[in-house]
Amino acid sequence: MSQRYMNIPREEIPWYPTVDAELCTSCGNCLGFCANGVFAQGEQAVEVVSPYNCVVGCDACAKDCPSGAISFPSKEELVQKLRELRLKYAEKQER
Amino acid sequence: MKKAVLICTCSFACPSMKDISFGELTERIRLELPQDYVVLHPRICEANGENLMEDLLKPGVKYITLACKEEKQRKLLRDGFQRAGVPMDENWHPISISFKTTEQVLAELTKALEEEK
Ligand code: SF4
Ligand code: SF4
Ligand code: SF4
Repeated sequence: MSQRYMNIPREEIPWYPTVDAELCTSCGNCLGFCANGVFAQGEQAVEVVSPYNCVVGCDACAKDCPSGAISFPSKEELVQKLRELRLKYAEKQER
Repeated sequence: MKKAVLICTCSFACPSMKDISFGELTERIRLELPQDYVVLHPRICEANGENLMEDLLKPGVKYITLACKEEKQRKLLRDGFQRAGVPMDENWHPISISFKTTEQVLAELTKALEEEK
């Protein structure tokens, strides 16, 4: 699996879905939709079990959730965070 | 019909596409396979990709898309085709590249291009 994104360790990038358990009806759409095993059925609702398998910048499953239970950070937040992390890892490389 | 190959790389970051070398894939399609042109895009299911589709897609071309699972592509690319005014049924041939290697994708695309003759 690709462990880095733009030379940043994937685990440092806060991009993954959040499921609102109140809204989730356990219809299972997202489980079939995501190829990367990010979701699993929990007791009450679907849960995010492998957040860092989520493709940075992808929010396709949210579009396919009939209940609007899946959300993501905004693209602006992502861009800002990536800017900070790129700087951090560029400095590390220079050392 | 002309044949165009649209490759969606899913930001080069999708774990399900980790065994594909997009550089080699694109170049070998261009050099070795009978198509009219190849386009590579990081995320065709998003606004940026839909803008590309709106400008690029036209009748008389068969678009072979290499991306996620076929049924997923149908949902995600529908708006792009619609905005371009091109009917998906006639002009679209999806191929899933999830969990495949470069060689497997090339073999499937070769078959699809033969079928579309
Ligand atoms: S698609 Fe939405 S409602 Fe259905 S299981 Fe997933 S999160 Fe729950
Ligand atoms: S955004 Fe994409 S990669 Fe992430 S969980 Fe949803 S479908 Fe899977
Ligand atoms: S169309 Fe599929 S492969 Fe392409 S970016 Fe969207 S989810 Fe990823």
